[in-house]
Amino acid sequence: MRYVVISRPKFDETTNYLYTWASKIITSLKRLNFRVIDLKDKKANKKNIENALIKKNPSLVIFNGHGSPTEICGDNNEVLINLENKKHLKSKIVYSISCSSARELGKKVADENTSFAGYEEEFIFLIDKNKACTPEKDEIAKPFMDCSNQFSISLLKGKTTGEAYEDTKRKYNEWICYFAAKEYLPEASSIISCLIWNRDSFILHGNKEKRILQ
Amino acid sequence: MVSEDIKKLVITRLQSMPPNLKLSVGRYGTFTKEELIERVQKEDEVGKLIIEMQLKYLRSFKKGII
Repeated sequence: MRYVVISRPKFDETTNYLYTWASKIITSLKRLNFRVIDLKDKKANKKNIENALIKKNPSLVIFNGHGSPTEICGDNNEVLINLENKKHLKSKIVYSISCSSARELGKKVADENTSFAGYEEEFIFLIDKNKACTPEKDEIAKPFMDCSNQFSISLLKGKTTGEAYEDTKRKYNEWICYFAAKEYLPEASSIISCLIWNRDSFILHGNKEKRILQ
Repeated sequence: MVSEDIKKLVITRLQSMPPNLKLSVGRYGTFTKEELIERVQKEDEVGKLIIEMQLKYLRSFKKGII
């Protein structure tokens, strides 16, 4: 049985968006017959994440939520992974959409058999405040969702972590070019500035040849 | 310490942001245009981050990346 663990707390506007974006990935994973351990809302806590990592030994772990250079957080910013329990991520593909966790934690988790993709700086995105209650309908946030989900989508297509990383950078560039060509839109330059920031902060540490589909 | 000219430049850019937009800045939360301008003026952590992001954007023009 192939397991994927996803943590997606939902307790503020930012996590509400990440939560919704992750739903699309979960649907795709289930279609490919992956067993998804969906640690959502209050379930995104340290006890559950450690249990899932130890007992299910997932090939892919996706974290959505807040973070810091040394921590990945869950519900109400409870620390899920830090430098003390990072060993539970060994030999896995980790994708952390959790601010700046790739800077120090990601670097230390990664090795020749572990891949860690994530952001070295704060993950920044724009939202339409009139759509904040329905993130799936927010067209302003759509480019950020597209870029954020690309890494997982590429892995689901059978690509290596290295290829998924390149696809993600490409997706950022596609959206940057799209809005550069539409600079008459009032939101264009604000969106471009955030996309450039996230693109340059996105990084892959460790093994670049791992796949979730062998 | 960020120069006043840079701050003015960043604030001018933020003022052009449509009023319906909010910026999600990771663990710091979400901010309206007015709140971002206030943070830039105060030069707190969020303000510095926004300044850095806007300068990166402007430099990308200079380099011809966009």
